[in-house]
Amino acid sequence: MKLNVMVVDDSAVMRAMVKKSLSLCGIELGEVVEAANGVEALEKLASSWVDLALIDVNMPKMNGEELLNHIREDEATVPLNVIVISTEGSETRISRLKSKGARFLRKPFSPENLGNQIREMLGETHGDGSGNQALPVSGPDF
Amino acid sequence: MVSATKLLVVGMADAKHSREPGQTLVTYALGSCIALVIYDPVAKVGGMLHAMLPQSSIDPAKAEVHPAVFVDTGVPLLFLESYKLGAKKERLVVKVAGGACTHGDPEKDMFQIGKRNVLMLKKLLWTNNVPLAASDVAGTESRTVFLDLETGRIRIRTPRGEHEL
Amino acid sequence: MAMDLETKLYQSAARTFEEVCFLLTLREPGPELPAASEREIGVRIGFDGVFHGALEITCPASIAEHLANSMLGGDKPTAQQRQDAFGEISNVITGNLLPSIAGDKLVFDVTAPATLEGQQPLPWGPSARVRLRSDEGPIDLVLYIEDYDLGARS
Ligand SMILES: [Mg+2]
Repeated sequence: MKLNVMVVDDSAVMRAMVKKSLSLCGIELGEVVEAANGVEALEKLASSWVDLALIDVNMPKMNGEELLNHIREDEATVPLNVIVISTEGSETRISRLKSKGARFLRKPFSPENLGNQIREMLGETHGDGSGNQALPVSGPDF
Repeated sequence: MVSATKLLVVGMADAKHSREPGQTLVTYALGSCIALVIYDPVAKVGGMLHAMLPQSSIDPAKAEVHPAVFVDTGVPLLFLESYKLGAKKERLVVKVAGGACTHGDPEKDMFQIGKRNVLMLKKLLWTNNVPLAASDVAGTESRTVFLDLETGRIRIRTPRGEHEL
Repeated sequence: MAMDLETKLYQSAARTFEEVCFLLTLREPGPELPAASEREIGVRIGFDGVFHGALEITCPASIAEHLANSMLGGDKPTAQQRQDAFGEISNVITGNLLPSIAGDKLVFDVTAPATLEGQQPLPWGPSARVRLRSDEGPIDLVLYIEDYDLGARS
């Protein structure tokens, strides 16, 4: 199954890094949409099908925690898979996010961390550990 | 076991490839050097690089003659040569070992060659869209690395024992 | 022995530069005030919780360019991406640093990183100052914490 992913982060550079990591982590990707804050994310959620949302915490307009609250309050988005990707270091806030049905991935993260989180979330096994996965070939150098 | 197969030794500042299922690539006693190991499980093509220093800019003339000395010239070489044997980039499983701090105390290691080697490697892989499937780096122990060309399995031997990567 | 604030700042920063930008940084023993030419790019990020304050990071433009380039994976960054990348780095450093000072139970709100250009100097003196040395050049970090009894918590 191809996974439609929404990347929510106020930093365009971080969104680019998350997208690059997604393309490298061995997940079959469908459409990837971006949003720069919670308000934009809710708009995108209303207009496109998203299987998984990767959400930053510190954002202007509407932060990740508020966004998660909105997602869990709306019938249409309650079951959405959410991974919070953040520099958040407070266990108190992290458990609060987890209690709302989100997974947590600490920045900085590697494509492998991200892939494992997604596979765990979708209830798949980690595979045989061979790291054997389909990847787009796009590197200029090798 | 190793004794049943033919060992193909990858020396320091060297890169070797093979697609003979009976062979095992091996490099001995990595300290701050790194071994980058790539394997295509479909074509059963494997390669191993034993690089010593992160950056060729310190001696471009040497890099010209011996690209495998440096991580930034050795890594492209390792990949490009594997393609000639039938490996495909999108199938390659990429793992790294080494980059130890052989002086014992990392705080006192002024040059941190091991760490620099690993950082350069990760930067190259990120830039070239290659995921790293596994790594066993840093620490203070020396490592000997085996790649079984039949299975693609990698074993690491340290003074404390052996484990799979 | 409790780790001093500067060591915590150094470790949070070094780890971030390695993991986010693949850049090795070492701590300069006695940091002097950076020359203006070495402070071309700057970012300030504020935090507010049991104590409040800010972190400022400055470096030459060429380093900021290098950092953004590493994060993007080779694409040449625009000026905006350079500032954005630098802000995100400050965000990650702050996220590492706060729990190392205050423990991981307390909650902090962290402001969006903003360029230092044209900003008022902070009303407090620095609580910690660290200069990093890298192959690309120097990077300076200054941490400000208001009314914080460093001795009691470090
Ligand atoms: Mg943010």
